[in-house]
Amino acid sequence: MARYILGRLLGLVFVLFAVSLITFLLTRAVPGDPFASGERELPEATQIARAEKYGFDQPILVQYGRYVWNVLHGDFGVPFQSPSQTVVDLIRDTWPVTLRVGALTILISYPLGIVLGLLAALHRNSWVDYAVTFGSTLGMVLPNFVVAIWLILLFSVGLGWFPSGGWGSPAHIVLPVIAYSLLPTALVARYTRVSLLESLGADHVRTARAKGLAERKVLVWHVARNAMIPFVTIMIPEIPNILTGSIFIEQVFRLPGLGRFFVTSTLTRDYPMILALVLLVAVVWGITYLLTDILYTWLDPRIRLL
Amino acid sequence: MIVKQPFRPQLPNDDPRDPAAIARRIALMERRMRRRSLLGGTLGLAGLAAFGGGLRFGPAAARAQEASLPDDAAPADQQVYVVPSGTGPDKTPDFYESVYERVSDGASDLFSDPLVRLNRNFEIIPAAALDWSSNDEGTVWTFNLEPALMWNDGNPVTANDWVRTFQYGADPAHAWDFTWFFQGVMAGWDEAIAGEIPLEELGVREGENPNQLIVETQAPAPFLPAMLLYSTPLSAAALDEHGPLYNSNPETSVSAGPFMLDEWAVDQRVVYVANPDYMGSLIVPVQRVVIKLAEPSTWFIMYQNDEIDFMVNPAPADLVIAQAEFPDQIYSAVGDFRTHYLFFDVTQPPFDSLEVRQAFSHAIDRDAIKAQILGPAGIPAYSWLAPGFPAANSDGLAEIQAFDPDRAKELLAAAGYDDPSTFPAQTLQVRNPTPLVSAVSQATAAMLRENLGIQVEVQDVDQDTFMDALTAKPTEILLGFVSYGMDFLDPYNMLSVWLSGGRHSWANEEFDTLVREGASFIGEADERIEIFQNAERILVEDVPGVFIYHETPVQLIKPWVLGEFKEPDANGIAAMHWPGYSAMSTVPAELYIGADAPVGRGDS
Repeated sequence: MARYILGRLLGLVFVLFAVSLITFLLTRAVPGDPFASGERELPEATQIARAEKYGFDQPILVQYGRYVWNVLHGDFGVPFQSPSQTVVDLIRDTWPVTLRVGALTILISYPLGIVLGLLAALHRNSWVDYAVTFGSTLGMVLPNFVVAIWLILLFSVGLGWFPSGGWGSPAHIVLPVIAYSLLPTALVARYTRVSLLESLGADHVRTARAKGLAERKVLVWHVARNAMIPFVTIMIPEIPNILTGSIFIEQVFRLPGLGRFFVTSTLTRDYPMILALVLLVAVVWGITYLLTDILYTWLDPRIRLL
Repeated sequence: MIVKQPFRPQLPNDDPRDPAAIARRIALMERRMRRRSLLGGTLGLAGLAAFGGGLRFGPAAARAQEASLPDDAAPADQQVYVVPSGTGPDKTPDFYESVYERVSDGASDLFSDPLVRLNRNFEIIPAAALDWSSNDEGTVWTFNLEPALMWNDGNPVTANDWVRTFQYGADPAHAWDFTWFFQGVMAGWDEAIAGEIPLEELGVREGENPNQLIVETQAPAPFLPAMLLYSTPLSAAALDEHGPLYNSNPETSVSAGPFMLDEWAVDQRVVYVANPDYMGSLIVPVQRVVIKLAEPSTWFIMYQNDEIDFMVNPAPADLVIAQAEFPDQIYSAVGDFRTHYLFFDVTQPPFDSLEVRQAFSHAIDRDAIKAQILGPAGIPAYSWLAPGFPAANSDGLAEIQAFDPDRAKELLAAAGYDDPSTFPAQTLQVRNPTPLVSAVSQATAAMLRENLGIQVEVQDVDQDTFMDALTAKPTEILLGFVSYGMDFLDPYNMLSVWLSGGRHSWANEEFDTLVREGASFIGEADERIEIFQNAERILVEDVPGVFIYHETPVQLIKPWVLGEFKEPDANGIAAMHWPGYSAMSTVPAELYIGADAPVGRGDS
């Protein structure tokens, strides 16, 4: 196992190099000058000075080489959007906000979705099942920013219970987490229901019951454990998405999180920030898939990591 | 000689050595010192008691200042003004660090006084400069500075601060995003930004004493005082000690303006508090400015929820709600005299044909756009300079690009497109549109399709890509939709956008000559206006652009935000005028918070 994990981690390093090179080349290939947002064309002398200041006057592979060298020394550069701090500082300041909202979202939506899916599966074709199915379908089709606006209009503008946005007190986190939880709750409920129904009808479950095992034991050891495999396949990889933030939720609720930088960095051609975010996502995904594979072995002993 | 300001009243020009002027200045300083005692609050009064309660700092002075707040004002500790600002790149509050990456939407440039400022009648009035004059040629300008100005680190504000600020702006290592502003204007600027001369050789220096600033220009520049609205200086000492971003951190921030930095939470908010050491000429009632950083699309809900006091440019759908629910809070401002327009690459077919461009100009019904889309957010434009802007000739030029669909079709046929279906399909590229601009550009394209029978599709383009393509040489945009607003209140500024080799591919030698002649013209104001009006006529007649609307930004202002700034100006316009809540404007002295304002608006 240790050898396998070490191999995967080494592979991740090569993935990061490939990702950084491709992203670096793509950012330079996209039209648009990071500093062309002024109303008038800058004098040629200033354009040259800018290129020198940011190293854009060098051949692209030299630029990439310098970038990699700096990154290997822990220097991810200075974000064009907020040059009074480093990229690392900016991520360190903003990611905890996203992580906090994301973690709460996971803590609420995953258990809630599992319970709802379980209830729907155990009461198949009852009103409970129909209600959960309807609710989860609604949760999946309603964009979270639409829900967010409704929540703000109802609870902030209408009732005045919560602030419409911002950050700093527990009250600021309630509406974002509700809005953010809707989709994962719906997904978890749906996949839990389907996985459980498949497991409940499986031969080994029928055999377990025929052997006289208690229903609780059957459900926990034979149904739930097998139902977890598709669940892990689908829902664990959702975690990086949730933990790296939602541009919509963060913008609507004015959360000072990391999510919006995925979009603004691209729009403003903030090369250092784009590269850092892509690398961050690559690391989070790489680790997530590694953990998912390890979880498989625990859930299904037939699966072996080579 | 004193160069007359062509569009503004004669400036006060006290001799700094004149006893009467000195007496006035002492009186002004005493008034400011009294104000300091109030702003110092309890601590200040306690400190003063320790000194025995002198006349300047005594409780009586504080009572006098409190009495100066209007009866309907909230107490001093509740004079909190809360405004939104976009969450774009916000690297600094300082103009000379970055113009386009400044916290600037709701309140800006409050950490030092510029040399001049604009009042609500768009008149240039003294600010840090008590007066100014030029030599006979209009190329050497002398500004006498208010000697009482102080940085709150204890250093006096002197000419050297401006010298260092301008030098920093020209420094190639800084590569400022606004270097074009002084290009061709300030002596040595063009060479300095290219690194061809030392920064010390830039045409700006201390005069006879530390309170006199000399600015030299490359050519006669009667517009220089108007241009120096943008002259909020950096502290030379702080620049040396902490670097150019010293004002992005409360620990290193230094202010000589009416406010100082109290908090900067990236992506959340920026908080300014009144600077007790401010010695400038603005007497500012507001004690705390809270700038909430948020996407503009969220501002309206924040406004509805009483979380902000002011916002601009609500989306059309939000404006409908505002008109229904709180119409008395809607104000239509002049803004920066911005004109939205459609432009062509006149060097490429089919727009190298004047008839084609004229056809486009006659095919767009601006009145319908005003009635159906703009409402209070704009007025129809048929020329470049908006009504009220110096040298504007809106009525005189209105017929040249007037809506006339029959004439439009005739012109298109005359250009060789009898059958409009043979006209090449066009893509109208629109720069990073707001919902309002998006609606107008879509309507413009629809009118071109309907009235000319040609194919025009709209494509929204992000800001960076658009500007990169627009200013490329040759330009990469054949047909586009964009806007421009003034940088300073002089026709030269707006008209220079169309100079050859600039933003657009249109080149007209006669226009260039007239604009440059007008720019450096020292003489009667009427003659100068006539020169610019002749230039604008050429611009409108040759149709490098089709002028669609002049923006009159809609402002939403809470009823508890009170003051003279809401009263009609000399032109009858009631709104917060550009440049808004800034030391470059008189607005901070004219705005206060009423007693019925909800408490705690700026707390989170």
